[in-house]
Amino acid sequence: MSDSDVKKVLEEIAKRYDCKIWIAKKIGRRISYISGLKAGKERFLPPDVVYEDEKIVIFSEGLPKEAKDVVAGKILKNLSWELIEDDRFESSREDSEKSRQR
Amino acid sequence: MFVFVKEREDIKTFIPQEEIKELLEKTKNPDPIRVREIISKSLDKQRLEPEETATLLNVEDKELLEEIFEAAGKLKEKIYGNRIVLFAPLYIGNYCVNDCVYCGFRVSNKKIFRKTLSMDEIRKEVESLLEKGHKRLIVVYGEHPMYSPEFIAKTIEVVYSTKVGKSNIRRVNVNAAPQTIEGYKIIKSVGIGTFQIFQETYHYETYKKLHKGPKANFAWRLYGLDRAMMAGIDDVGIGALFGLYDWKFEVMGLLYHTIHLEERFGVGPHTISFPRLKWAVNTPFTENPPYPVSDEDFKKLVAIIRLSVPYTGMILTAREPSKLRDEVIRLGVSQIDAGSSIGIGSYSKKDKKVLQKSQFMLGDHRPLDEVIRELMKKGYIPSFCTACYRAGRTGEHFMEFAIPGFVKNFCTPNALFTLKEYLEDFASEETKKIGNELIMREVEKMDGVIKKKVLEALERIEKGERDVRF
Repeated sequence: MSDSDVKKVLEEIAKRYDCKIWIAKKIGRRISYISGLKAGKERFLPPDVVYEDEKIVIFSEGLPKEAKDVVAGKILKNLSWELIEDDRFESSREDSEKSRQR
Repeated sequence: MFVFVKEREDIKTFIPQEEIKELLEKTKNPDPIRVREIISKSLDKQRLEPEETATLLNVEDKELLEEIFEAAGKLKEKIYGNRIVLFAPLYIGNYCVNDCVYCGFRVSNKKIFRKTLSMDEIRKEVESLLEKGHKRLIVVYGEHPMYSPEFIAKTIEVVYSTKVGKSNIRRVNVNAAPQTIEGYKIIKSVGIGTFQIFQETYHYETYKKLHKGPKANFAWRLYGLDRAMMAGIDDVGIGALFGLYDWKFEVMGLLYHTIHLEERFGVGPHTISFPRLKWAVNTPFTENPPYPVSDEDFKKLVAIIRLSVPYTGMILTAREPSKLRDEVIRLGVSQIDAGSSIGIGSYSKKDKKVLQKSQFMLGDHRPLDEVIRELMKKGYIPSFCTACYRAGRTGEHFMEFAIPGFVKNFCTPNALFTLKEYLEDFASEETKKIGNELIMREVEKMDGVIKKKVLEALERIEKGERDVRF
């Protein structure tokens, strides 16, 4: 799965439930936004945790409580560990190293 | 994507040395109409272009300068509200392989007392900081093989794992030597806040003249935060040490650095620092700096940085005396350190040799409680908030901070919650009284739904719950 696939899923969820949703990874105490993985408009509500494990947290604003499980399942199905690990800047670095090697 | 490697001594960088000089020359004696246009653009929350900042830097007219000061304060209020974020520096070790003429830690300074805190000593220092009420630290290291990325990461883990009652440090920022991408990844893995590197001076010739050792490589340092970004650290802090070269040139350097990061990574620096050179033990250079910055020019540079980069946090440190800090805060500062002690190991132990363990001399020695009280008397909300960083509102997502309403609905409530915690757990009676009155005044300004939620949260804090946040 690519990040654009996950992004598409997030967009669908945001549209369907009229909510904001974003994915972050846990790095020690920091919960760091994964570049590009958010959808929906800011609603100025305290963020709700849709899903949390030892590696990631999915946050939402305005997602109905009863939809949490379905939404979490849908996102997790499309989310790979490689995608969580590999953020945009790291990808850029790899591109750069490849081009330098060439 | 271009990666600067250490082996390359010199390259043409994104700091256009000649262009900056030309811009500063070309914009002398600016037309007041043009100056007001630029101020207006800034008040519209747009980042300024180099020619515009150069124009502001050349304003000498007193009336126009007042307009700049006023606009900087207004802009700060618009974007950040009346919050001031508080932190403390924690120096871990002062061994250094560099020989920078202005620095007390330079390798040739035989009168400095060298020390690296052990893990136990770090724990004690953190306990002492927690007992005073701190929640946010910046850890500082000299440049030395002892301070490897693994060592830095280990020390940060110790900081995070230290607890006193229900208190712990919630955000650790880092000020250390530039790393390789692999090094940054190791440091990133323990969950840091901002990684800070000050370029010291953006003027290439001056830089080469003042630095000896690995730090003498201008471009390695300049691209240090690019590598941090490439390693996935999306909060970075830039800074210049004012007094080494023409302050106007340094402000331009900070702006070009900001533009470079924005263009390359889509997100500018999280913070800008603007320390002035201060006296250090056995460091004659600091007694007679070549480009001293007067208090008046210092205020001007702070206000112009604020107007140039509306959304970037600005850090004013305890290097400056309390009276000047009070004046400068209103010109756009968003973060200050308080209750600081920069002698290695000096939070947990009183030490007569504290100056000989310090990189420079501090100007503001007030304890945290006094700083908090004074800020509140002036209408500011002292904040220890770390909510964004623990809700995935980091990097480019943090830029939603720019949306009108974000501050009102998130930052102000979260600041009040952390202030309430401080008042409940650490404040003197006088501070507590002033603080509770301030909180109620702020709550009264809020709209219905938010007001209700904030009051509920404040009640939970009063009942003993901690780390409450939106």
